[in-house]
Amino acid sequence: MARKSVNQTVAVGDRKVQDGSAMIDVCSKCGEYELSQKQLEVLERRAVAVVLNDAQHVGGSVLRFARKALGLKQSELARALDIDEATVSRFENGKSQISRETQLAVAHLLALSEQDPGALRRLFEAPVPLSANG
Amino acid sequence: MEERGAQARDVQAALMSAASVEWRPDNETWKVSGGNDLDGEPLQVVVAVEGAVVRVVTVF
Repeated sequence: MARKSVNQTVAVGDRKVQDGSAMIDVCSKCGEYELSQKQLEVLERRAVAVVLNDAQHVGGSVLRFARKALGLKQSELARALDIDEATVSRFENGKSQISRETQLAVAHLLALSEQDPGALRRLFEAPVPLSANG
Repeated sequence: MEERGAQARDVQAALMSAASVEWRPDNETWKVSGGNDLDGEPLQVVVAVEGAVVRVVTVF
């Protein structure tokens, strides 16, 4: 086994992202390699973050990919974005267009989870305030 | 995984919610069934246990 940089192609919805930054153990005889779950999760999050930040508009399949890369259910993403679960469903199924604002908010969630993997989980465990004034 | 549209967290969710596991002697793998992906859709996972590592062979 030798640690090498391997070009990975990640299919993010209808887009493909190439990432050669991950250092992976590669079999020096056959070239075969395996990714750990953590490596795969990082790869997914990084790829979809690139798409969300670079593309002017994204489709529902990209949003679904991002949600799953965050490990969230539709209801959880809805809560994180402060929108209805039905709206998330409409976005993902292509029945509503995803605004650039929403797109960047999801990119922000990805950046947040990259910096602090427990941040989103804590968000859902925190009590919901009864009113804006506390 | 890509063909099935499954991501890392889908496989994790399916393994954690699985109801049964079946040994497949032909290829020395385990077929893990009854689990659901993050969206609650059924996802079967075939894994190989190699020492302390569980290697995902395929999903369907």
